[in-house]
Amino acid sequence: MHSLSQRLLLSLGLSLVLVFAVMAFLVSEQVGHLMERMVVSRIEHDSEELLAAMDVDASGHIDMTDAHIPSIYRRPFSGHYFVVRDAGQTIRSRSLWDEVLPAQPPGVALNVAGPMQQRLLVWSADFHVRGHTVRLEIGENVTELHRMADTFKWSLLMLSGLALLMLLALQFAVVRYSLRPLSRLRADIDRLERGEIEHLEQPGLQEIAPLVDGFNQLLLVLGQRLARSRQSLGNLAHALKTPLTRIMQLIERRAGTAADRRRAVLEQLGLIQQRIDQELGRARMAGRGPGGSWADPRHDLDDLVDGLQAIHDGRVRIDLDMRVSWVAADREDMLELIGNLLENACKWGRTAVRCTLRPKADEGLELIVEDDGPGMSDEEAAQAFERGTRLDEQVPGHGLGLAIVHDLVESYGGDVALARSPDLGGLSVRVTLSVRVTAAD
Amino acid sequence: MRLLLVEDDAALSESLAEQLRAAAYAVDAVRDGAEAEFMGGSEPYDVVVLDLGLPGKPGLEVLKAWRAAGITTPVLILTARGAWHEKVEGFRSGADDYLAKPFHVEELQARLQALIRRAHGAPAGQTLEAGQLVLDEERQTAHMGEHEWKLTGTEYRLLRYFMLHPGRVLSTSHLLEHVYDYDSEKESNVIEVYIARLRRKFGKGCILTRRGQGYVFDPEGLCTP
Repeated sequence: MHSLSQRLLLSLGLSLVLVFAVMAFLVSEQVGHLMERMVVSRIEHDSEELLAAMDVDASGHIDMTDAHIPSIYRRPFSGHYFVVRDAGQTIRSRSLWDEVLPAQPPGVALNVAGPMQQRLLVWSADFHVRGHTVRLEIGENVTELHRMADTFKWSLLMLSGLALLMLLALQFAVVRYSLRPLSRLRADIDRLERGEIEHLEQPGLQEIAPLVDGFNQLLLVLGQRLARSRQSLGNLAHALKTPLTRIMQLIERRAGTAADRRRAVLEQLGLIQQRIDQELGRARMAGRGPGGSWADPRHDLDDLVDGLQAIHDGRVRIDLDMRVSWVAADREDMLELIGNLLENACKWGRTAVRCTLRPKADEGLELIVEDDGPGMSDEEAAQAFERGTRLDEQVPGHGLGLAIVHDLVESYGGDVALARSPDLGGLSVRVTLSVRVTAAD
Repeated sequence: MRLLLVEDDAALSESLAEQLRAAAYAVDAVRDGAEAEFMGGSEPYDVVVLDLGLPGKPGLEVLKAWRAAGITTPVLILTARGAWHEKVEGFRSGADDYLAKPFHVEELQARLQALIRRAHGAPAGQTLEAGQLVLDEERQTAHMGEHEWKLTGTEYRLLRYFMLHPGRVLSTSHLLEHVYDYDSEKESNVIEVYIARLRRKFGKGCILTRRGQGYVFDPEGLCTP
């Protein structure tokens, strides 16, 4: 398990540390360079004055006029030194007193040991004075400058560290604050489990809102299913008790002939079976909810149609007009719906049955099952879906087909309408469901 | 007609077998899926009643195994839940008809008769006919015009089998296998005895003997009473 807050803190913290480290390094590097360039430019300026103070006679002897040498080179151990070297002659600034600077090649040397433990920056260059090559080396004490730069670096580091710590603390607080809705949500779920609340409150966070919405929707569907099964069980128990009581009485009273009693018991048993079928059918329904998917309606319906045609021994031909290839509804529900309608149509139709599945003009699924049977009068059609009426009781077997169709369509919030089929002349049942479909090619 | 009844509930199985035997089926009853698969594969049944919830092996698996082995015997499946997706699975696995529990035995018999006729390409309808002769499957009698013959169980089973296979040469052992169930004592001359009885009732020419091959039912050879 990963922790979201740990991950956020770790990544943000690491990037901050990295930024500050790079910044501190660059700044301290630049301070060193800046100092060096400042010192070198001052030395170059001094070198011009020193060259002006230099005089070389015809024998090649170098002489330096004291008055022209900047006074700082004349005060002992002032920290500013020069050495002039020729083939046979070395002139040192008075500030060097008795000390010597080690000979330097042309260029800039850092950190050269000087008199009185001074650290020097030594600049050195060759000049041609009246035909003689003269090397001028100028050193400057940078001990103090180094110390200042070090102090600066240290305070920079300290300040950066402090800022880093403050930013990390701020970040920690921000992360904790941002993730607080999640812990509140977790607490809500605990309360939901204990039954203290019915659904989750929106935490007012755009990223989590769809999650909470989905969760609440799922709760609603589950609740509805639970309520429906409970109601079914209650209805069933209630509905079974009446015929059971009648059977008990029939057996205990022994009224009428044995054949009469047998017929009466069978009648009550038939009633019990009808109720069980009806309530089980209803309890089995998934109804409209997330996750319903009927992936291959063509395959299922082809098999169903083949089976039904074979059972009716070629008497009826079922014409399947499939114009959808996917339906966002529970497969078992859809097969229950279409199976019942087709069986009914085969029972009543004389030779032809047609089943059409197509997308509705606006979104949804349209299912039409028609036959060339006797059809229904308006009165019959009006009563067809009323609880307890059995329009098809003349043909034995399944009296509940239309009642189950009605319950199924209701659980999907759809519509079912009965009419006379314009083409076949028999009953036409048109079901519309507001579920998503994919049209077939 | 040989019938394989596959049903795991002992009480239901016994009662069904008894009623089907009364309707002149030679019934073998098994209660286990694996045994059903073996029996269906080795005995020449004319129709099978198959429950879906079986111990040993699920009914649909048994059915698929039969169909994969090329056994085309018509199969009627019994489903407890009566759900349509189950029926679709049944059709897909090779079932020819279905019946949801609970059912009336009359309904089962009607479906079985229809299935057997369909399997033999006989026209759909309430009665089985050959030439002038009409078989009443409910009362187990035969008619021709006004005349009615009463038939014993074996006579009826044998005549029905002949009427479903008019013009086909049927050997004695074939007839034995389709008229008697697995556990019956089978003596080869029993068929000859019953054929003689049928000939006495319907005329010598209706069942011809092909020496060394068997018997052929010829509806043209029926004599009018």
